[in-house]
Amino acid sequence: MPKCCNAIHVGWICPICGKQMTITSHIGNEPVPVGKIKNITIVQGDYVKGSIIKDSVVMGEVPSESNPQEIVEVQGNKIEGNVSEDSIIMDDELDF
Amino acid sequence: MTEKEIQAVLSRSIIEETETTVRLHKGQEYASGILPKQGGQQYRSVRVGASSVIKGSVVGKDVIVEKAEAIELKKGVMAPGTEIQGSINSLGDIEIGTGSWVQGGLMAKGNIVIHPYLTDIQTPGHVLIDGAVSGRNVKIGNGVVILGPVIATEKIEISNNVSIRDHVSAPNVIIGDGCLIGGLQARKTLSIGEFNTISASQILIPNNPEQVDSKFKIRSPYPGCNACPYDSQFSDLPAIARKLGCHLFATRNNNTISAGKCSEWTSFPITDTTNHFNLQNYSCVSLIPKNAVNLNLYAEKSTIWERGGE
Repeated sequence: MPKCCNAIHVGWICPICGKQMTITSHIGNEPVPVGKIKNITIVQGDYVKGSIIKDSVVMGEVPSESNPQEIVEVQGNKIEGNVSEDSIIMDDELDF
Repeated sequence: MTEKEIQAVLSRSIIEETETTVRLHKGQEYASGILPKQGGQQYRSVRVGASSVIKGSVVGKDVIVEKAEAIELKKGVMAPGTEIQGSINSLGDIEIGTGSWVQGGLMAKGNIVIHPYLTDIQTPGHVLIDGAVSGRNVKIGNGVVILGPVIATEKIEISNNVSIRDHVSAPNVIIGDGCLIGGLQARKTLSIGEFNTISASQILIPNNPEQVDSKFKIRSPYPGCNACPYDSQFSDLPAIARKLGCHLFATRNNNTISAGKCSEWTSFPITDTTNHFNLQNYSCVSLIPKNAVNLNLYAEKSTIWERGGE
């Protein structure tokens, strides 16, 4: 269980001092706080047309690429099509 | 060749793959996930060596993540533990050793065993799962921290001082002492120990009271902690998350959990059936009065705990 303020505690934040539980990764030497929601930032003007899947197993259909009439004026980055990386996409249901 | 020489030869390759097994050696960095590249490889057994890192997800039949060891990655730099930078998906069973951090979830067709979080060892002792855990039977060791839900099709066994930020759902649920759990749905049997907190205003327990073993009170932060008598101690943010694991409710030492100085906390009326809602498979134990009309009023005060202060 996490330990802080010379005491063990439950939860992801020390109830005594309010410091978030941290953990050291193989990448970088500084401990990182846990529980931080990892966000993908899409700024104004970016246009995401397909789907982006990374490090995932997806069951079901991923929308196929299509070329509808362009109705969005793109000012920033444009991402088209489905991108999958380090992932498995299962079209059929598994026989559990 | 001697055994040490054989090990030295083997460790020259980071990973060994056969038709039926994948073995990542200790203290290694693998730059992608361990994923099937052709049909049938999803049935390979996968073993991740101690204090290695996988930069992706793992898919296999039985998946074992070994307990972390004190491994020197380079001069003066010790490995921080075993790290999976993705999810683990198994068509068999999953075993997670002490000193592991899984940044995704665990999903198994079979059983899942998660070993305890240890603080009194020289090797990395943390056990952190960032995502959801689901399997047939799920067994969680002392002190483990899971930030997603835990779901089983048969049974969940939770040891002491375990933190599960989201809900726990299974036909049969056993919970030890001193745990913090986001929500509870137990359909057939429930056994729960002392000094537990469920950060919800309503929980679902078995319809049959004979299948509920709850000798001690179960704390809910709602409504007691909405008017916390020790508010000044939590004036620095984030107060909600700190109150959920409140040290004034229960004091934890390595092997013991005892009552804290606060006595103002609310408990679920497990034995008072007058405020239970009977559903088809469950009895809903509620801290919101049955005759409440303005549910928004209650929701505002109760869901701050369910959201965990985030």
